[in-house]
Amino acid sequence: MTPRARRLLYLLFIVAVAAPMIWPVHIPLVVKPETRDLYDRIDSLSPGDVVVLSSDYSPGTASDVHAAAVAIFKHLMEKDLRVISVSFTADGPQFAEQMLATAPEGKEYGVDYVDLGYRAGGENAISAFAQDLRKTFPADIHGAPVDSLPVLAGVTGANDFALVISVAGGEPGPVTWMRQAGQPYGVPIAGVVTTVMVPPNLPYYQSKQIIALLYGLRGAAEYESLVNQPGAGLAGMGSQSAAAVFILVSIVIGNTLRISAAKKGGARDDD
Amino acid sequence: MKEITVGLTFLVTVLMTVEGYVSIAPLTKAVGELKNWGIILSAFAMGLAAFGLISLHVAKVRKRGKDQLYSAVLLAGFAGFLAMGLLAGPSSSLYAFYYRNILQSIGNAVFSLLMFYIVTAAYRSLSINKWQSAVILAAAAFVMLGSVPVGEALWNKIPVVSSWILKVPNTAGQRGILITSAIGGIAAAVRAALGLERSR
Repeated sequence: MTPRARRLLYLLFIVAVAAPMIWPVHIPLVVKPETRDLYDRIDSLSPGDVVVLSSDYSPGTASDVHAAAVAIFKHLMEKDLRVISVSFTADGPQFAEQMLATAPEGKEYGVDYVDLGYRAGGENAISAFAQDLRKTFPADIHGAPVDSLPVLAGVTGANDFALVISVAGGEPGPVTWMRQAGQPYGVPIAGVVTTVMVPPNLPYYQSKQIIALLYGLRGAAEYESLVNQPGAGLAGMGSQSAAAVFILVSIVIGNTLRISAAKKGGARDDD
Repeated sequence: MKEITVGLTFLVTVLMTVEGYVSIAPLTKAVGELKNWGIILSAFAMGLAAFGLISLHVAKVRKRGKDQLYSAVLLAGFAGFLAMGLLAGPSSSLYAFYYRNILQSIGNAVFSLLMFYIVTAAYRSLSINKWQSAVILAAAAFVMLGSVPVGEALWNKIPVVSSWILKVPNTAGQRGILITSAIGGIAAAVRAALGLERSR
């Protein structure tokens, strides 16, 4: 492929992806059972129940999973649940702060939700957190002692969690939480993962070791439609659809040209 | 020295493993302490990694090699974020502003560049020259279209096929991989606990 042809291909791709952002296209969305399960579980919780929202993703994967975290957090606030935000990746707290900034009016930091920040150690840190929350996080991200926060009243570890939602760009992810909190303490674990991480996580959903699994940006769009809070997920579906169609059309065109050149029997100039 | 490290590894492995199956209060407390020590060690390891990175790039700048500019930019970025974190705090609005507008934007851009490689690969490399590659491409097409709303709009059976591919053949293959890698992981852990690993 000559550089000119490659540049033309990239330009067409940029136009295909950018166009739905400028002229939005509404395409009906069918909610998957994997997403509906999380919505129904949160709906079934009682006000005051404790939910852990673990933000474990980086800038590169945030565009896939952050929108879902925001939609889920809004739902948790709507249901008057107590939300504990933690991170076991270094970039997590920054995205947790962005998510918590969307808290609705009337919800108070330290009373309805808290950000405990980041702990190094990955799976080991999750295990320590599940065993003894206060020893692992003696203070929140702003330095306030956890004993002084009303939102953590009576919460000592995983035995007190009603649900754990792992929003992950890789490891640690929902399977890690399942190993360290789900199986030992019986806490229901839900996951939001990038689209490429769905295949290795799906077996755990099928065996009900993970109770729900959101598929990247598509999962975010589905959840936004369930909670009726349009956001980046729904906004991105047009571009994602265009990108998928463009890739498939490129495969078809490339193979068509290759097959026709092979039939002609000559060396193909694939300009 | 080797005997001490092997002995410590073995002892911690046994304690952690037994605690997973038997609930004894003193053991649980001891394992909890070990986990917190592990967190401290992990944080220390990150600091060590940062020190190694700085040393590497300072040496590159000193040698005035051809990539010294990139090393200088890395060091400047590192110093800038470190200063902000120490002076204003990592949860301050100043730190968040620079994180969102520099690091997050660059991270998104770098990750997005992958798409252009995928587009080139789709056009040039994903060729249907055998029936096996045709099956793989067909499966990929169904799964890709099943994950976007336009797939349902084109044909309402696409999500059904996509879901079947993910939940039946994919799950079967993934379970095989998970079970074998778990068995391999146990074997490797036993070797490490008994000090049989070559690195020792």
